Amino acid sequence: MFHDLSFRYKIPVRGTVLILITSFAVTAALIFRAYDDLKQDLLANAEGVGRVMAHTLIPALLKDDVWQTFELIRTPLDKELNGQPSFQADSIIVLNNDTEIYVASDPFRFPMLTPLANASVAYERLEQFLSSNASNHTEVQDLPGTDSLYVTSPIISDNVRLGTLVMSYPRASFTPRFARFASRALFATIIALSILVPLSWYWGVRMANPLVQLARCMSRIGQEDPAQLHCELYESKDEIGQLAAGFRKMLGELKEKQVLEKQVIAAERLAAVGRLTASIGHEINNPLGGMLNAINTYRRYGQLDEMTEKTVSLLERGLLQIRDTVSVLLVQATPTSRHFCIDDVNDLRTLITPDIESKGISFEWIAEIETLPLSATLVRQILINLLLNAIKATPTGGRVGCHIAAEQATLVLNVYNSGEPIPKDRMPHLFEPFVHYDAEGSGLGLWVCYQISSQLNGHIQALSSEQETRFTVMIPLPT
Amino acid sequence: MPILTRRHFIYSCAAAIAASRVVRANDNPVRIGITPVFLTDLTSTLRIWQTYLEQRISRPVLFVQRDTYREIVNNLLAERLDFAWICGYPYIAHHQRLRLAAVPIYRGQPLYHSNLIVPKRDTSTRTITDLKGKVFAYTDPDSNSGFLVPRFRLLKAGLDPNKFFRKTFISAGHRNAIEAVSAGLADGACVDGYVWDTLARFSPDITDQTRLVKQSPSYAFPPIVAGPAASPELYLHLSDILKKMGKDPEAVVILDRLNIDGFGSGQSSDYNSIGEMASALGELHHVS
Repeated sequence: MFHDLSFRYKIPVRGTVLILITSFAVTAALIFRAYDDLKQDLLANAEGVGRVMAHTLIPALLKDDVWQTFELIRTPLDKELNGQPSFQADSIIVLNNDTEIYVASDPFRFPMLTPLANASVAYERLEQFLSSNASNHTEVQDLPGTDSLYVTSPIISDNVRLGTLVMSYPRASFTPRFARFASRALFATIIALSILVPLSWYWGVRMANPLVQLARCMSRIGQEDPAQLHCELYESKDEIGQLAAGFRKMLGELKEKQVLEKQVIAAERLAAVGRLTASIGHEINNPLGGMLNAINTYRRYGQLDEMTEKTVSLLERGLLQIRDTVSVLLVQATPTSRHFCIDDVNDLRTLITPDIESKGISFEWIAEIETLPLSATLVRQILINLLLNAIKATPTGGRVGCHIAAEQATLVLNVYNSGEPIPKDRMPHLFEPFVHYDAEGSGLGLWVCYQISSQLNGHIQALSSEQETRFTVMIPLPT
Repeated sequence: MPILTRRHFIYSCAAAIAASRVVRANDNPVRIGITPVFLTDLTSTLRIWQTYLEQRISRPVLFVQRDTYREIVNNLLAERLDFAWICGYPYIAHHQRLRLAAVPIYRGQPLYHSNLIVPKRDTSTRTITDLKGKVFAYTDPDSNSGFLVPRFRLLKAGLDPNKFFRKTFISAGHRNAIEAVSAGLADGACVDGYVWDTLARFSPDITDQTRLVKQSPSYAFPPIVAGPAASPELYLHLSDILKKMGKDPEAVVILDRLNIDGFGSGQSSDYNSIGEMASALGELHHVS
């Protein structure tokens, strides 16, 4: 379940878990360290007290002064003198060398001259320990199964052992101090967490957002048209930024590919139409030639009455019209000896000038070429078709331009005009034959331009916007 | 324990400052020894009493306090002290060299008792003979009520006082013996009945932990005596001042704190019963 969670939650949750683990580990380490220090400090202190007291007790023990001994061991326990220290011995016992109680701070619990073992199980353990380990130093006895720590100090006068001082410190007396420290540490941890956790959520969400954005955008691919796909993506040089940049590049290439595919499809369709028309044209031309020959022969040798003459003429005109149409369809880039030159350009200009002037159109004409090794007839045909179309499409007072240039072994022809843009739904079928949107045209002008360009290994493209409609023809120069 | 050390330091500083106000030996003061026959830790009361006596005797007064009767009595006999408030037992032991200056009047009489006390939780003890094999606290080896009386009782019962108890110790004072019993350090003690009553009045929390088992017959109250060092004039002067305290309104506070009615005169024969007990125990010639 966590596996499928969005990074928007995954990153902050992971951050929070890390922070929690770290804080609690650090706090726990601190607390345990503090507990250890506290214990060491208190025990060192207790050992000091034990040493001093054992020393102080020597005169009293030498004189067998029970009362003085009692007063001495009772003083550290006097609540009026000491207030309420958190770590205090709960009982102090002076043992003789037989581990019998000589004097204890609480005589009811530890009656005089009774074995220490009689007091409790814990003291029985202590007695066993002391009988087998008579140390000459003050020590802390941390015996298992006892609820107190015992500080034992030998009472030694001039190398003679008089007895042993036992101070009992309940383990529980560590607890209040420890609890105070632990609660402080926990409080500090909670404050730190209350800052760190929201911060980690904020950073986590900030880190995840670009990824989430990218993922959301990617999921739209395939469902929406790449050309229409617009995503706000994270900009940076980090990995996510690189990913976004890569994605943007991919999206751009996808769009380009789509355009190319459309162009390829259109080109293939036009090529297919071209082949079809060419074969139909040839199939028509053969019988057509025969029929026209037959009419000629019939005219030459026959005496025709008026009625027949009328009919034959009608047939002949019809057949001629078919031949004209077919010949236009069968665009043949027939090789010609004459090359396209600046004179052809000037001729064209002269040809269209009356139309330009009659519509009051402003005309831009840029032609900087030398003689090019291309058929003058064919290039002229392209230019005249495009220019006439442009003039026709331009409203009175509009603008028409023609730019002819040779760049890098390519002839580039640009013909453009102002006026209504070509509707988008017509653009894909622009170069198909008999597609005319104007009652006067034959619908073959652009078809012819396309066929000529294709046959010269060039291509033609149309761009139309509110500002202008532009046709560009590019024809490579033969080497 | 650092706190304790600091406190002790402060206390000793305070004691040093207080001591600096105390009369010096070269001021030729009247030296009065005091022993634990009364509650000697009534320091403020002693100060007032000291001032009271100084005003009336027109000489500096120095109270000298020691834990044992023997030290005070030795100092008295060695003329290092002029007067002392001591137990009847050392008095009768040295009555040839000491003069009775005044005897406190307690509850209308110059008499007191020895009280046998046990810890409160001991509900069975009816007499001292029930304490066989127990731990017993003697107040002072020169004390009548805390030493002679219990030992005499055992002797009269045909028992050996030296072997009867498992363990005995000297508590150096009646108050300490009462505390030893109340804390359970000792299983029993015989204490000055006047001290026990006074402690019950001022610190009932201590006496509440003890049970009064038996009260002895009455004995003459521990007296204030003059040593060989006190001139007859000084002896009479101080004796007179003490005996008038009972009627002096200015002494009311002192007497109230000492928990006595005043001071009267006494006869050395009043203490004979104590001397007889000491003789019976074979103690008399041991008292130095």
